[in-house]
Amino acid sequence: MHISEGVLSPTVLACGYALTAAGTYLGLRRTDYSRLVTTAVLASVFFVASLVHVPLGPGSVHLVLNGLLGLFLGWAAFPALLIALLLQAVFFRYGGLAVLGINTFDMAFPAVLCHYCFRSWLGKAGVVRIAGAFCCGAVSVAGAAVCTALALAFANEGFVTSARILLVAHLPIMLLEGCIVALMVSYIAKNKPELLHFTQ
Amino acid sequence: MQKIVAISCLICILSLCLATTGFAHRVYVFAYVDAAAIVVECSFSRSQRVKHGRLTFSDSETGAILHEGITDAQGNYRFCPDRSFLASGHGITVLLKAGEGHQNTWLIEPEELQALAPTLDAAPQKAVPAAVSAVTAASVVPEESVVSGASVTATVDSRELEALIGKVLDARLAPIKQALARQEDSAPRLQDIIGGIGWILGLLGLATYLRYRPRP
Repeated sequence: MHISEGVLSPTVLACGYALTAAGTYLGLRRTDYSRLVTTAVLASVFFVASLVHVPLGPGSVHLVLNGLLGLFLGWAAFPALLIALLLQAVFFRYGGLAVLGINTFDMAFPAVLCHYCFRSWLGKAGVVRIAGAFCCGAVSVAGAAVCTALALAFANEGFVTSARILLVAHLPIMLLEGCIVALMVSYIAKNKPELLHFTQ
Repeated sequence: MQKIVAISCLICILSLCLATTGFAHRVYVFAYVDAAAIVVECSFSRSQRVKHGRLTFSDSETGAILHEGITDAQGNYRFCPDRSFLASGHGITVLLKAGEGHQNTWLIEPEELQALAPTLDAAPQKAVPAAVSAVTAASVVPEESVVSGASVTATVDSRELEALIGKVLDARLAPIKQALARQEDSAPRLQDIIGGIGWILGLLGLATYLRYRPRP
């Protein structure tokens, strides 16, 4: 899911940085500071989880977990993902500094959208809650794939072709992450239900 | 809050355990010159090769595209530039596009490419019959051998000899070149992972301090 350096034009890179800056500003403004520890821990989870790769066809896909961050952090997913991706670029040379903006936006924006789409489901009981959590995990990955394909479309890689390849490649990850988020939400609903009540 | 932190830490630890068998999400391209051609090796990791990745060979100074190709199932490709390009004294930039936004480049210096020149020069000579070669060769190294009682004189052209030595050297140096390629393909180290998490926790501390610092 990380776009490499040198693939995108300077215009697309600048747009990526502008959108990420806006998202990060909103994220910092709307952060619930009582959840700072949760934000840091989830950023660490994202940082490490991206190292788990599943070989598939000509390439390999890795855990994204942007849905997990989006669900619990909302707009704060932007600064959390920005830090985690920056550290991945520096330590592991995944992506790169030039593409940091667009990579952050690709992963954070769908996660924030899913947060607002599915958070009301989490307040309900039973299957609806689990379905909401599963959809948040899975759809966030799908959204990240579509956003990445959209960025690649500007690099003459073709939107439909890129989107199809990325979505098919990430199908197992979508299912896996849907299950991970559903399990987490199910556990938290039993033991700490107040965490699922979002105020902002 | 404690529950979510505990579960997140658990995922973190599990991911760390799985990461040792995981694959790096970078694409690697490594190219070297042997006696006959430029050899390109492409991989996502040591064990996972880039199958059918798009390769572009271009002049490192002018940017002109010299050749395009597709890697095989082992992520390898061989390409021999023509003599006129080698005479220009320019290097070659190898660009690998592995799809899904993954790409990387490798620069082959002009000095490395000069190893190909003797091969290209010697190549036409291989088609020349041995008798003619013996007459035209200026600097020859005579080598006598006796076959079924008849004395046969074989001559080796200096260029052919150079190419021959190059081939032997390539065979000897191949393991070293492959070791270099593997060095390029280094998986994330545990200290980097721990270091990254440390940075995040450090930033958390900084944010907490800035938020809750005592104000006059």
